[in-house]
Formats: sequence, structure tokens, C-alpha cells
Amino acid sequence: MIFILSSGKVFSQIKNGRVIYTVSFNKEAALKELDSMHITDPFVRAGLKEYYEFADDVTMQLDFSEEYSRFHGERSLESDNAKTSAFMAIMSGLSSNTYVNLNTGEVYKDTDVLAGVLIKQPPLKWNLTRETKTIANYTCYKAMAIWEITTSSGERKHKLEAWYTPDIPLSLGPYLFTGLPGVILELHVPKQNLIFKAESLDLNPPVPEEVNFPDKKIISQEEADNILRGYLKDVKN
Amino acid sequence: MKNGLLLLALVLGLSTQAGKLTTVKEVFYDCHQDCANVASAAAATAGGATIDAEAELYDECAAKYCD
Repeated sequence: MIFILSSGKVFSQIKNGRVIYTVSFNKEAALKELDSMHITDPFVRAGLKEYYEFADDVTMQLDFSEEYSRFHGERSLESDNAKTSAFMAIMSGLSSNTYVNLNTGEVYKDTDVLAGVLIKQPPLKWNLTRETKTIANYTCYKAMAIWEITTSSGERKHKLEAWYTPDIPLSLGPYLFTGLPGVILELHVPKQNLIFKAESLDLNPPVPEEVNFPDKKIISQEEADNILRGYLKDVKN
Repeated sequence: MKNGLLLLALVLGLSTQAGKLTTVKEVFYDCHQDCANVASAAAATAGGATIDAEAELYDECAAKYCD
């Protein structure tokens, strides 16, 4: 892991920067789960197998300025990210853009499936612990949260385990996961077999990436769920 | 979302061509239904994925195999 402070070491003067994350999926666990499932439809089984076998690591970047952050990835054919499966692209956040208003802490998802709108995410309630571990010479604290999501078959709750460092007191994290008193350097979503790990951090780079908040209508997650529930119902019938 | 709208438009358009409807509908619906099943299964096996992830999985599959 490479951590760069391009100018100065006073964290209170951080104006912008970039964190690079690697997102990994535990293919073995998913394929094992698939083997134990009773799926008779060969198209479905083959589709899932392809999704999991090609769920290669994805590299994502979190660019931030004083007002906003943007979590996104490179998807061009030249990029290694292009090799990963569609499933991994969607689960890792590669297929979407996630914006955070750093003044309010509000998180917004911009996804192609609902083009033209931003989906405001419900806030996460973190439980801070005193458990520590060192990541790249930073003392990181463990925090836990329950991520409540709506699926097409009902509500689900996923445990989140985050490791953040108060040494860099910016409320930043990968994908939809933020709201802690320090940058999240590692985050686990065990049920989804996903791990986000910071690989590099560049603070106050000489040529910072501009982060512009999209000019789109904002809808709630509940509104989005209702629209998409109807959409999925249509395609299934 | 575009695939859903495309599906609706095609079905409405084809409904006036009763003779062709069955054949086209079978092929068309099977593919979309299969993709919906794959997306649904993938979303379920991932410990439960969000509705937007499932819709996106469906769109990706339909764009690749059905359109």
C-alpha cells in the first residue's frame, strides 16, 4: 500500500485528494454456495457460474474536493476492470458513480438503470469500537453497522465491518459506505463476500481531479425501489 | 430500463400481428424471462442484493443475449 502526502502533513489543511481501493470478491465461497443450491435451470446455473468465476478484482478511485467526493472506476476496454464480470461490476460500484456531499454527509448513487436521477441513500448508523489494527502504519479502529437494503424478495440486513483511521479525519469511504470520523481503509460486507481495501492515498495532489456534483433530480431510495420493483415485475411477467 | 420499455413497445406492436405473435413472443419472452431469472438468482445468492443491482443485472443480461 502506498500513501502519499503530496504537500504538507497537516490533515486539517487537506483540500482534495484521491484514495484508490481494490474490491475483491470471494469467488470460492460463492461457487461453493452455488454448488449447494438446488438450481435446475441450466441457463441460470451457467449465468451465475460465469458471474462468479469471472468476478475478478476491481480497482476503484475515490476523488474528493472540499465539498464533494466521487467513487468511480475506469471501465474502458484497456482497463483491467473491463475483464471482470457484470455481477462484480455492479456489486463493487464499478457500474455506477457514488457522490457524497462532504458538508452534509449525504450519499447519492448515480446508476444507469435509473438514468437521469440520483438516488439518495439512507444514512448508516455506525457502532464505534475500541478494537484496533494497523494498516499501512495507520492505527485503524473497527466500526460496525447494519446496512438495510430492499431486495425484490423483501428487506435484508447486511453486517458491515469497517476499519477507519482518525489520523486522517476525513469522513470518506468506498462506495456507499461513509460517515465515520476518519477515512475507511478497509471494509467488509461478509454476506456479499466483498472486501474493499485502500491501496493508495494521495492528499493534496498537485493537479487534483475536479469533482462536480451532477445536475440531476434527486429521489429517495424508497422511490427508486418502487420504480424498480414495478420494472422487475414487468420483465418477469 | 430501456429493455423493459423496448419489451413493452415490441409486445404492443406485435399484438396486431396475431399470426406472428406466438413465435416471436416465445423467443423474446424466453430470453427476457431467463435473464430475469438469472438476475433474481444472482441477487439472492449474493446474500441479498439491492433491487437496483438486480435490475441492472437483468438489463446487462438482456442487452447481451436478447436485444
